[in-house]
Amino acid sequence: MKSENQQTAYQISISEMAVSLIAMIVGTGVIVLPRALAVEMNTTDGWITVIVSGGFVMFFVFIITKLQQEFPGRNFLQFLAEGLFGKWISKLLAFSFFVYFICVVSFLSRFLAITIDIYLLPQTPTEVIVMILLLLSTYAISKGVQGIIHLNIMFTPIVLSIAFVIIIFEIPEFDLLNLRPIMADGFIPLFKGLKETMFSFLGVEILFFFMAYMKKNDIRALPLLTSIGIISFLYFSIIIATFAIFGLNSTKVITFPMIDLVKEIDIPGGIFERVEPIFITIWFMSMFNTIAAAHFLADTLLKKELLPYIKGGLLTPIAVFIIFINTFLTKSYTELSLFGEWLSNLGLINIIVCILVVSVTLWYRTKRSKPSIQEEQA
Amino acid sequence: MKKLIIVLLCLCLATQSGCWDQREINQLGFTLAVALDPVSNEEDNGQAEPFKPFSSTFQVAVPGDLAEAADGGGGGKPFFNITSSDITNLKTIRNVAERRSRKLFFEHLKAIVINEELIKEGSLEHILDLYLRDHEMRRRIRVLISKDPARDIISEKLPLEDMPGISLDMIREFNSDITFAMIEPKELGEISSYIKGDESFLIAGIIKDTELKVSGASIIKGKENKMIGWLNEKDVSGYNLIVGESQKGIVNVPFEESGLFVYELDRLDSVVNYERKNDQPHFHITIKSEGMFSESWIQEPPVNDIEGIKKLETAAEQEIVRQAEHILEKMQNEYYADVFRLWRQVKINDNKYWKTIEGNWDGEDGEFTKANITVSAEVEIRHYMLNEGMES
Amino acid sequence: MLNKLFRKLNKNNIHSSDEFEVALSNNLNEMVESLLKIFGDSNDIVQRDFKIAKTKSAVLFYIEGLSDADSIEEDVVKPLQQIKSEAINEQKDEVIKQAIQDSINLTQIDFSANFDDAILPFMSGKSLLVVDGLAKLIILGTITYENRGIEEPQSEVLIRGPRDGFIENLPTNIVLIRRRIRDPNLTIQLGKLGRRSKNDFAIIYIKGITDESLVEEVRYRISCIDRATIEESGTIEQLIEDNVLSPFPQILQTERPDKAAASLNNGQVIILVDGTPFSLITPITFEQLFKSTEDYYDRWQIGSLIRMLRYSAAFIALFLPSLYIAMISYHQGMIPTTLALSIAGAREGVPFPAFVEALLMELTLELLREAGVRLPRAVGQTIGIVGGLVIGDAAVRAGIVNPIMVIVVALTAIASFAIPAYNVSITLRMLRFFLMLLAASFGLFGIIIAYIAINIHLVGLRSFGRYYTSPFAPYRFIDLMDTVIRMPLTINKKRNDSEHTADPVKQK
Repeated sequence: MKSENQQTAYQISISEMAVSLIAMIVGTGVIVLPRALAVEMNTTDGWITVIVSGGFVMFFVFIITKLQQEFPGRNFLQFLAEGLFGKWISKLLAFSFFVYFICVVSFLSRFLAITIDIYLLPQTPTEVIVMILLLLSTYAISKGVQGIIHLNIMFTPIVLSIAFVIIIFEIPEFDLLNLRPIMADGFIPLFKGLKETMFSFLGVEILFFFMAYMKKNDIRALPLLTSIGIISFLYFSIIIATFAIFGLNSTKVITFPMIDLVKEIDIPGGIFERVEPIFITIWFMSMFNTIAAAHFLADTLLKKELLPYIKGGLLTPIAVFIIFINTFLTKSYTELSLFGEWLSNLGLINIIVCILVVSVTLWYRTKRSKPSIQEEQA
Repeated sequence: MKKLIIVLLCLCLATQSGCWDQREINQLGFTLAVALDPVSNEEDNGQAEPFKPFSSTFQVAVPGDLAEAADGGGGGKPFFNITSSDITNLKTIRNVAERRSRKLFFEHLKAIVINEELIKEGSLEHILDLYLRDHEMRRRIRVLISKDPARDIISEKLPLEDMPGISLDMIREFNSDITFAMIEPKELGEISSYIKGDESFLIAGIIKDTELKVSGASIIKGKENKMIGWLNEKDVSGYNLIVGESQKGIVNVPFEESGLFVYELDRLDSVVNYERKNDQPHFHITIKSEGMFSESWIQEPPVNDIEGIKKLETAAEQEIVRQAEHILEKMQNEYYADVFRLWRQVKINDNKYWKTIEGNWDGEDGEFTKANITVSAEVEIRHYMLNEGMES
Repeated sequence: MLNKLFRKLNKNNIHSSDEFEVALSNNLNEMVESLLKIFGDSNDIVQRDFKIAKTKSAVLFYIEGLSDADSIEEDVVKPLQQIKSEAINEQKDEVIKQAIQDSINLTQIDFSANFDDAILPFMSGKSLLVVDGLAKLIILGTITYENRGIEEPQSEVLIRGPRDGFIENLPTNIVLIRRRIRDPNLTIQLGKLGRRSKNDFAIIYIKGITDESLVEEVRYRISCIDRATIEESGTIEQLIEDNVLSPFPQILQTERPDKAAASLNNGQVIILVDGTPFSLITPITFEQLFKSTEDYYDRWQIGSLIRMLRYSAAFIALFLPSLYIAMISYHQGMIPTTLALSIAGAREGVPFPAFVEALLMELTLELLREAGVRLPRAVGQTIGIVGGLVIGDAAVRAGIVNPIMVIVVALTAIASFAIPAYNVSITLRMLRFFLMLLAASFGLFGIIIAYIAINIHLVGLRSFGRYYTSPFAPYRFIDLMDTVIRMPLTINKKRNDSEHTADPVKQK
């Protein structure tokens, strides 16, 4: 059928990719980042760190885009697999990413379940919440790349605008004296916080995979850099708001600073007595975007790269089952945070290894092809 | 498409067995205010010595009566108070649950009133911990300290309002800005920040003379989080001037020998300058205000010439400085607690020095006591209401 | 699954000839015999015997009511009887044909060499003339219609805008569109559908604006239909839509020729079917369900505000009851204190959970609405009054529901009427119950789950291969100016869905 041909030929436009990048990155960071920074740095200078690491991430994104321009229409795994040796590296990386994405989905589901358990449904079993969540994300991934990307586009503007509206509502409560003195302890705390902030930008790895669905001349860095800028600004405002309202010492002990910020809000006109249930549901959309995208990539990796010879619809349910079991391996919020840290390390290593391997391969292949051309001419 | 059906079926399954959290609005006991009091007789207490039981009184709304009262009828009060005691808050709440059909519901809690005895002995941090920790509680709950038994305070009902809990909240909302005699009742969230930052601070007091009245303040000492003293209305007025909290208060200014006039503030702003001389912190507080000449007890108020206005302004400045110095003196030499948050200036302007004295700011031989604090005021009388008397 | 559906339809499409295996003859009696055989036992077929030029016998058949009897007598029979020419008695076919053609005062005269080509026009009201010695069937355009006049459409009432609406007659409807677009590129392709009913239908589009592949797709899908009768355009709609299971309409219907013309101008395809005033517009996107042509007739501020109102109406119609349930049964902390206390007081005697309460009232509302539609208009109003005033008030007094619930239900009802497309408000009503169920089980979490599920469904949905959620996703920045807000016409110069039209600029 014609309509189905159109569907398979779906190509992500650059603006859609930029929005999806925002959707993928904004997740748990919004909720916990200020506390992590306060604990790690022991100063209120977290906002500088966020800007700095935003710059770093922009650099990463720029490199990824440049690399992707070399092999449009394919992802880096397919590109690597073209070589003899690269085939094995590609399999290895695919497996590493598969594990990573599976763990991301589990981590986020667990995190979400805990938040919902605390603030929305204290009595409802966590298993039920996670089950519903995974069912929903399975339904989402059945719509393919186009579905995932379009979902991102549908939800991200809502989430972003609500987040900024909340911060604007907070402005009367600001006590900027809390933020001073700036950089009283010098640069060392900034470096301490750098790791935390880099973690909150994890999600850029989707570029490796989703940019394979873009047209060659659509692969541009600038819009993607803009979205990193928007995220940096969001983090920046959240950190400023948290420290300006709670001060350093209080932020250290609040588990979810952003939710407590929302608790502070006094809606003009008093339509709602408290808005954190609304905020959590809106934030749920953003978390769902991240979960669905990671789930989709795990599923695709499993089907296309790791086990392409297994046909039939069994792989998806099996993956979901693994995620479900994995979700309940962590027992408490403290354990979950440890798991999250391990996971972030894995993600960061994955990204860096990928960039290195791909650049080396590219360099090697161009070097090999160039002399051959020269020889022919000679 | 098959997937959609499966998802729908699963959702149906999930929903059919669901409803774990469902509780109808009319099955809740809306708790609007909590009063914490010490327990007087300790004989029937079998607990270990360090933990003393205290009693909590919960004010629970009776929505049905409230609706009737709105209709014009209404016999009884639209609320009832229920008291229970134990050594922890949560246990007390559970004790109540055993005695009442409805679960206490704290999401609409408006105010917590604490008897002063309780925080003179025990730490405020622990008494309020549950209210800070639990997700049901809002950060905007007002906390007040009372000299009288707190449970008496919350059984008092203001004439126009139905619920004491709500009326306590409303006193804050409408009045704290126009008088210097009360400080704005602190919110639970703010108190939490003070406690976590080991700061000294004030909590508004509430007294019951003939009627309920928010007045005075209790001083909470940082770190220990215990109450160390009580400020009266005059002290509080100086405090308000220094921190610039109430924007529209009034000051009674004595003028020349027997005169008196009212200076009504329109804007208030205080600026603190810090510098370190001879290893001693020097603070200079400038209280800038604008306002009007609102009420005259002077024979011929000199409002018509610049000189006269200047005189009035100087008188007002003197009065403001006097009030401010009075409270500063009290805090420095009697209570040794920096409730004005002057330490922040040290931290911002002189961070290295602050690092060395950080743990030793408040207290009897703390740096705050040794600090040299001067106050000056700038008053500008913008207008003098009616009776302009241009001719005379 | 969809493929299966279409494959089933695709099995056999066009009905070829060879239905009536009778050959023509030039013997008049034989011809009449075979025709009568085909017509069977129907009594409404009139057989008129007469003599051409008083010598040559001829028979004329027509269907009473479908054909204009006066015109037949005046323009066909009389002239033929009075032919003076001798040529009529010659044996040459050509000469006879010419003579007949010259004398008949009609514009449509066809000569058919077989029965198949002749029977269908005859069944739609043309008359058949059989002449002795001529092995041809002469088809005469004598169709007459019993038309209702062109009236204002009942289902889409506008304050400002043309008052005409489509009627049950296809040619009239085509005329209504042609009158609005006098462009030779306006292409009207007629066809017949239904194995037995042989309904006329027309595919209408503007060449040069509409994407050719889209027209091809529409034609293909319609050709796949193999059904005995086509009762209404709704039948076609259901047989050619992309997703049969979706609650959302993927093809828009309208009774208004101005709306149809505007859609044509946007590169959409119109399908008109004889026998119904409802035309089909395809492909559509989600946001078009909230558009009314009146938005463009009023000034842009009015149009924009009304659009926003409609979107909020859709939000209320979809979410309000479930939000009520979630707040009353789960998140009581969200309600302002004084309101919470008064709701709690009002609900004091209500024995049911909020879900049952809401379900009860919503079902009552649906019942009232359905009863009101079916009853004669005068009685229908009584139902509304009885339902709205008496039942609502009594339910509150009896303590079955609380007054706030009545407000919620009333608001929902009003909001669902504010949406221009009738079938969309039904969609929202269906989804409302789904949301209420989830809200009753999980509170706000359930609502957001449902919202996400609906969104997933929407991004997967297509209307003739076009993304249903466009221009929100995929982003079409230019088209966004004509969605929630309608920008001034001077700014908004592109056609809707401009990426898919061959000529995207509407105004220079």
